[in-house]
Amino acid sequence: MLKLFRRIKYWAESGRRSAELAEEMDFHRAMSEERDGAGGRAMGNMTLAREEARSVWIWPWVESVGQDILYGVRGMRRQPGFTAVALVALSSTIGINTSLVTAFSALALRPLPVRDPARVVNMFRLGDKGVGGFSIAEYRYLAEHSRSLSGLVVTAFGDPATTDELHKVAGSYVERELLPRSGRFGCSLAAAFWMGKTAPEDRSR
Amino acid sequence: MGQARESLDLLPGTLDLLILKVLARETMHGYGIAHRLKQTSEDVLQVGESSLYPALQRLLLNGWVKAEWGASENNRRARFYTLTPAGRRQLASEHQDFERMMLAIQKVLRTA
Repeated sequence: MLKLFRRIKYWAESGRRSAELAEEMDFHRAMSEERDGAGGRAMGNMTLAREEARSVWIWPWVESVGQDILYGVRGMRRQPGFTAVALVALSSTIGINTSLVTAFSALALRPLPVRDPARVVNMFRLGDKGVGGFSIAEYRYLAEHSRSLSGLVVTAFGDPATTDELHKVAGSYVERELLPRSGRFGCSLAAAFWMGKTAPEDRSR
Repeated sequence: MGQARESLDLLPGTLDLLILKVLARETMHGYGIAHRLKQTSEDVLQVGESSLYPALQRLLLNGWVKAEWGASENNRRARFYTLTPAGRRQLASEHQDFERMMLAIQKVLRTA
């Protein structure tokens, strides 16, 4: 912990500390010349020595990453056209990918927001003309008489007017019949959710 | 080839130990440490700046020495290093480890 603190302190004072190190090494060289007659060459490469001493405090890879980022920024400033095209391409691609993954995750990967999503089933009617749905009357009948299902909800696709009407009918049924009995019909919470209606707090649990 | 080497390369990690040992006797500046090492080893250990100053920075980072600016013997501004209590403990520990290592190496060299 103390070591990290010392490192941070060095970073904060790196300018002054580098200058001190340079002064210290100058002193060393001057003393060598004065007493041993050895020049700077005999002591080795001063710049290399300074860099090595500095790398003790600042991890070389941190400095290298910083230099790479600066190099990248300078390159982008030199070629603004390329930078703009790259930015637009990257941001739009990332945006599209994020949207697709989010949508796929919400539709396919996340469980339905109900208490027991594994028990939710989708019902269709198989007729001569293929797979079809139910009329409102059939839905009401099933909702009232079904013993194996704890609750039903109807959805519609296509014409917005029909969809609205269907939702209105089904929604009022959910509010009137299913929500008051939410203890028994746990699925009614999902019904209210799917209908875009918020169930009262005490009934939603 | 065939000529006697004037100086020997230090074993990794031993420079730190030697600097700590030199500083255990008295406070010194970088040149003084290098000079003392050379003198005591009878010119075998000649430590250059590129080894000495990174080692001193390492010791500073670990809190084993502290540095203060002062006046040198020829009245120039110099940075003096002093051993800290943590450095003294480190010296004792490293010295012990080094003795064990040398003993082990010698045993191998004598018998193998």
